[in-house]
Amino acid sequence: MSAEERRRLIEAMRPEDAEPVPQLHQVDVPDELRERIEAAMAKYPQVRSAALPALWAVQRHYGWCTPEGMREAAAVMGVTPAYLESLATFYDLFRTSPVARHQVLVCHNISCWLRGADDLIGALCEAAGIDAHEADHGGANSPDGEVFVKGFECMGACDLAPMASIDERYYGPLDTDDARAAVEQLRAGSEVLPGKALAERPAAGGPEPDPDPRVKEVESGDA
Amino acid sequence: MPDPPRITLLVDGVEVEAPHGAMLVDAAKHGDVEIPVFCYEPKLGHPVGACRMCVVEIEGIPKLQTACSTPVRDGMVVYTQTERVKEAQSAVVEFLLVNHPLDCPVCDKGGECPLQDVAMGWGPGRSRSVDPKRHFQKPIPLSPLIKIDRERCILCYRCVRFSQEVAEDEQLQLLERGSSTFVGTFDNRPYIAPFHGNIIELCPVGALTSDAYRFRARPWDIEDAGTVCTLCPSQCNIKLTVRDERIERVLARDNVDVDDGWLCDKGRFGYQMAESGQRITEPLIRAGGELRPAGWAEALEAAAAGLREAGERTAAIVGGSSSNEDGYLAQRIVRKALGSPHVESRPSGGPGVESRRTGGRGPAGFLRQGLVELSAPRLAASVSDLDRAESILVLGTDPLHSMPILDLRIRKAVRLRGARLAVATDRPSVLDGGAEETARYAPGFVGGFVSALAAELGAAGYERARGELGADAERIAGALKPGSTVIVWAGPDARGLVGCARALRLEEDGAGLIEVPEGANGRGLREVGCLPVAGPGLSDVEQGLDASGIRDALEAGSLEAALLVNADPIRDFAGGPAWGEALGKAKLVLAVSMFEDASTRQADVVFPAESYAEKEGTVTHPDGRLQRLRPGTPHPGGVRPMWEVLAELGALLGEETGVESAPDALAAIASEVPFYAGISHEEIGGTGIRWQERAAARYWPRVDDVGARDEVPGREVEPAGRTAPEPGDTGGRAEDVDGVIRVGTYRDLWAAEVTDRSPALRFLAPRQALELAPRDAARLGLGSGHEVEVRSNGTSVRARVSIHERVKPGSGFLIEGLGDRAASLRGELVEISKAGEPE
Repeated sequence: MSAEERRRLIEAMRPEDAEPVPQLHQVDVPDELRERIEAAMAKYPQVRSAALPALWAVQRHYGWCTPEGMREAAAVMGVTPAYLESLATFYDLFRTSPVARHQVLVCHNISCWLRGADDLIGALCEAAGIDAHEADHGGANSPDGEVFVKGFECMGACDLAPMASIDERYYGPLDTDDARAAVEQLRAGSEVLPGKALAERPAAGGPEPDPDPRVKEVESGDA
Repeated sequence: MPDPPRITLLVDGVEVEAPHGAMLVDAAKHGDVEIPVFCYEPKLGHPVGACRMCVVEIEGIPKLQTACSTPVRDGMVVYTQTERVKEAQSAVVEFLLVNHPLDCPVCDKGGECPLQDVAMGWGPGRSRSVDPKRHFQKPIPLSPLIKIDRERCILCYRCVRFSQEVAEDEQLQLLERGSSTFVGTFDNRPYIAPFHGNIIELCPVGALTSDAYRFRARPWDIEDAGTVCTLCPSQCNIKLTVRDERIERVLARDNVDVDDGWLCDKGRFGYQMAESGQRITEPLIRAGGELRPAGWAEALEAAAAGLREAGERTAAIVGGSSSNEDGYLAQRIVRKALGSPHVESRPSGGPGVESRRTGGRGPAGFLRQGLVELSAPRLAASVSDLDRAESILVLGTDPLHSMPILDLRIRKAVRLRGARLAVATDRPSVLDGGAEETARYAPGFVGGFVSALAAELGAAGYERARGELGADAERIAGALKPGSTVIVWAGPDARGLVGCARALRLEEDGAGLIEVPEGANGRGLREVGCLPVAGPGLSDVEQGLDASGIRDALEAGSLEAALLVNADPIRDFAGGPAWGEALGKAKLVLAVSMFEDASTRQADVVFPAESYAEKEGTVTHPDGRLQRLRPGTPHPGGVRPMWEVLAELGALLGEETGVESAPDALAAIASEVPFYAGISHEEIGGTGIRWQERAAARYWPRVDDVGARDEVPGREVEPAGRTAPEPGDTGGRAEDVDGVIRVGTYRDLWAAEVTDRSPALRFLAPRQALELAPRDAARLGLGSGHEVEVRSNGTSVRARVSIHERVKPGSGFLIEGLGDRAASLRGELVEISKAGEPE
């Protein structure tokens, strides 16, 4: 920044640009968003306990935590928007910049990394037209605005390694073919990776598999 | 609160005695052991133990402990110099420096930098770091007053803690996480808040620097000069950073009994007014319609001749920034040399003076009696009493605007000790958020509210109010605790306070009243005799006219001369521009002023005034603490000490004061003000002394000597129906009347000459705004930013609409002190009409 730019920046600063707690009449909160935030506030004795649910509601409503959305939430909660922004930038699941329609978070922690997370990210990015380094360091959107890919820390699903969370559902184990298929399916709006979702596993309520033949042997031995 | 018991511990083999529960880092100082710290700053509240710089070894605890957050107990054995400790501290320094640029040669903090000191004292001396450091755009403005260099930041949290836990504005936050963390604001907005300058002083590195001080001086170029800021009644203790006889900066001079070590931005950056090139530096005399420079002898003679001629038809207005000495000498000249009783120092009248709405002026006996009663030593609370009070009532004032540093002190009491805060004001206060109870009365109805409160508290002779007023008073009364309440109050109509004080047993230790005067030295000026109803020491004198009476008399010609000492009534007093007409009719206006302003334009003789940085003298804090002003810079040009000028003027008029030095002037005051008896500069010292704590306090006038009065003060002498609103009065609600609201006024923190005269602060200068409740704005068809005209009885003020949710419907608020007629509308029902669309 040049000295001249700095001078102009300072001259443009007005006391009313500061952002204390906004008043409700200064923002235009959509009713649905306001109801969600108020419902969250009603659950806790301390209003601040509702900050994360409120940010979550903002993200659901606008796709990401927009400055205006955070101001609206701040006005409903009676806190400063700066407080909400400090939380939104702290937690990885909150987006503080515009984000593509579908979100693919790829685990790059030890288990997944050992099982090929780098290749998985590479394949996803190649299919989506994203720079893989950028995706792995903070996340990146595809040029068509359909897919956001981000290298992510452990999501606690090491049994699925290498895994990814696609639009908040866990999938794995995934290979590079799955990656290409997933991007295509997301673009087409069709079902993503049938059979690969954690939710479709028996332990998560999916169909029971055939019994393990070895288990049968032990049982018959007992009998 | 009793002092904690003292215990003994062993630090590095030396026995150290310290109070039980003190933090180890403080306790070690009793044994002359310094433990290095970064994030530790007791002013910020509870320690956080974030930086790990202060780790020490404690016998019996296997791991190293942070000395800043470990309370000491008897028999503790501590080592601060073992290999293990040294290695850990050296590692912490190495970590702190991992991302620090070490650009000390071009850094403003160089030479007074805690990081430099600690790195030299406890660091490894060499860096093993080979990786690139963090990079940010730098330096960028965090606000128009502060630049932030995020590369230098070591993430100690101090500034963020200040914003969150002291000022409680919460605009400054740590954004992002881990190694990406940085200090910032929402959406890159500027951080603009009234106390934000404190983060410059808190920053232990050069990450937050004052825009005005950047590259102006090095620590070895400068001298510190301790004095007291007289820009508002807080009277914070300050250190002027002086280089080549110019003030370059103002720092806090920690005085726990006054300011807790904080300053508001007005005090921190307002020094620029003293250094302004536009100051009047020599006496001026009007000749042929123009003011021309004159020598002192000529100017003094011209002033004396004019005053001699006017004689008892002279009035003096003493402005709030005047020292006790200035005020005392001015009133002595007017009373003794000229035989006039008309001396005033209150822009809109002090306690006991009726507001315009209730009309008229009470009898002198009562006015003095109210003063004597409400300012009595037994009812006086000190600022530090706020740290002990169980409940605090803020009544009729918003400390942020009237006495900013009290705002922080009250927040501290609520935050750290859970003191119960009640706020009763006409205008919404910034303290409302932390208050247990708040009550809004209609502008001008404070008297009714206080009487209702006295009744709810059980004071004899007060009638309980009905309806909303009664319910509000009941809620507020419920939040207060007898014997342990401090009431911070301001306003003219607060006579029911005597009843409240009695019912709440405010004469007990740790309870009491703190009155926020209108002027910075309002209390001192009152006690040295700058009142129309009382002389020095609140002595009985012939009653003079108050401010509006003086204005009317000047206008009518029954007063002929006006002596304005550090006062610009056109800007600061009720009536505003009407003063211009009144002063225009006077035969002689003698103005003592730092600048040419609206009032000096009417002056015939102008004496250049000293700034607070040049003054020698004393001021009296609202809690009775006498404090010393000490000259930090020489007088510019022909400016002379005001006590000297006034003493000479007195001599020319035949009043020999014998004052030949500032200590002489104080001695003269002490001889006439019984409860200041014997006080001297030496006794006041660097941190001041409350006169209530000296033996001479027993000479405070006795209420019975002041005049006959009833058991219940205020009732007897006042006409019926004044303490409470008339039956059927809705407390100023005017929603039913189309287009009409009741207007209150307040003195905005920045509605002051210092804002206009200090380049750094100019961007804060307020524009006239009419604050309205959303409902009223909708009813009147007004939106934020609309230009409106506010009118009543031929007085009109233009303002921009500003909508505030917490404004009581039916009320509206204008800013005083902007040189318009807003203050004349106080308490009036006004009509509002649109004068323009929003910008």
